[in-house]
Order: sequence, then C-alpha cells, then structure tokens
Amino acid sequence: MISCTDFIPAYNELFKYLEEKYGKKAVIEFWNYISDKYLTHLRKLVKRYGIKGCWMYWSKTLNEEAANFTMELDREKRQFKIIMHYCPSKGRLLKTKHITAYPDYCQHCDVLYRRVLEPLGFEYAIDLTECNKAKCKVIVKQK
Amino acid sequence: MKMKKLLMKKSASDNVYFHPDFHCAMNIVIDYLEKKYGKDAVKEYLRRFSATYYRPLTEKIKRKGLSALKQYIEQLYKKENGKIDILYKKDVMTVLIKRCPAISHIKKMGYTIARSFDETTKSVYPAILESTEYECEIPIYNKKTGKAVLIFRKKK
Repeated sequence: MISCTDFIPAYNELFKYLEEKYGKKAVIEFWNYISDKYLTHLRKLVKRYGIKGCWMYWSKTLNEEAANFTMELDREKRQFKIIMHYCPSKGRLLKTKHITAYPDYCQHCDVLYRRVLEPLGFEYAIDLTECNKAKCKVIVKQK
Repeated sequence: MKMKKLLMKKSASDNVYFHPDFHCAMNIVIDYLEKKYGKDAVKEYLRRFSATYYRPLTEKIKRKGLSALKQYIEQLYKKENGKIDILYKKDVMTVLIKRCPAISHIKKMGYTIARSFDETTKSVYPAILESTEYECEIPIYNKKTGKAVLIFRKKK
C-alpha cells in the first residue's frame, strides 16, 4: 500500500512518466480524465449549492491537506477566492530534495477545476505566477 | 440571516496532513494506466516511483537491514489506521495485513477497486528492495480486501 500522504510525490512522478513515455498530450489527457472521475464531489456540491459548493468542497480538502491558506466566499459578489500562502502539494515537492517537481505540476489545478466549474456556469481564474514558491490564487465567479 | 461573507484562514500547523481520499485518486491512476496503456505500464510507473521516492528508505535498509523496513511499515499502518501483525527475526520478516486502509477507504467512497491495485504492494516493495540484499514474496493477496501476507527475507 502506498500511504495517502505519499500520493503527491506519486502524482508528480506519474506526470513525469506519462510525458517521458507518451508526450505532454498524455499528461493533459490524464488530467481531463481524473477531473471527470475524481472531482465528482465538487461537481455535485456546486450543482446543488452553487458558489457555496466551492466553499464546502475546499473547506474539507484544504484542511485535510493542512494547507496554509485564506478562503473567502462573498455572496454579494457571488465570488469564491482561495489565496494559497503555501500549497502543501507543491511545497512538499519543493521540500523533498531527492525528487524533482514536474515542471508544469501546478498546471493540473488549472485544468482539473476549470473543467468542472466552467460548464456549470462559473468563471475560473488561477494565478500561478508564484507557484515556484508554492503560492497561488484562485478566483471562482458565478457568471 | 445569511452571512454575506465567509472567511477561513488557516496555517499548516492548524491541521494534520491526512487526506485519505488520495487513496481513491491512486485507484483512479492505476485504473487509467491499466486501461489505456496496459498492466506493464502500471508496473513500470510504480517501479519508477518507488525507486525514486523511497530511495532514502532503501538506503536505510542497506545500512540497518530489515529493522528499517519494519519501522517503516509499522508507522505506515499506524498512521493510516490499518491492522497488521509482524513476525520479525533478523533476516526474515512476515507481515500479515489484516486491514488495508487504502482498499477500505476506496470501497467506503463507492469506487470499484482497480484490477491492478494490488501492484501498489506487489510492484512497490520489490522496487524498494531491488538494490538491497533482501527480497519480497507475496504468497497471499486478496484483491477485494487487501488482506495479504508479505514475506521479506535475504536474497538466496
């Protein structure tokens, strides 16, 4: 058994494996697939509760992942925001000196969540300009 | 009255890093690789991952022998709330996995266990041990429950 706490390095090595063997297209194909199969709970919550579904989903996952974050739900603006001060996933890859992070590792967060949220009528924006410091910002807005 | 704004601010030390749904994600990874690229791809990926990521454990086993692996397995199953028994002698260790936390959680969340999910045990330990003087035999592995017997011993 691989520990659930070792999933992030396993995920990272998977991206490297897929790109090396089958090219970048294979990585994107996988991201689309895992978005469809794994983010079913996010999809259900957002369908049922609208923008608040984002708050409900990330309240659980970010706490379980022991992230350093600020999260805000603004009902008037119909906007949900995550400011990731230190991402536990990317942070783990940066701290683990005997492995190297897949160069486009953080890109998966753009592909996976956009694929769920945009078809449900939301705008999804992610700022990855500081992702090499394990920082990012996500804004979800109801159209 | 509904609050107009909700705010949550957390630092890493507010929580313990433990997200068992990642077992479900790993199950999806294995299922995807097997269906799209075949079982050999599952094995090759897990071998590569294990040889890379668990390298510090491999080095420890080279220095300290099976006691290093024993310590690793005990901590792993304790952290994940699994149930195991270990029979340990200096150069032979038998691990009885009585409850696999990964398979228990994947089933609890309603997913079907990937056909090659057993490779997360069967490919991982041999890769960890490959460059050591030890080997792993898995005479029993129940794919539905993850209950298994793992025997670690010196290579012949």
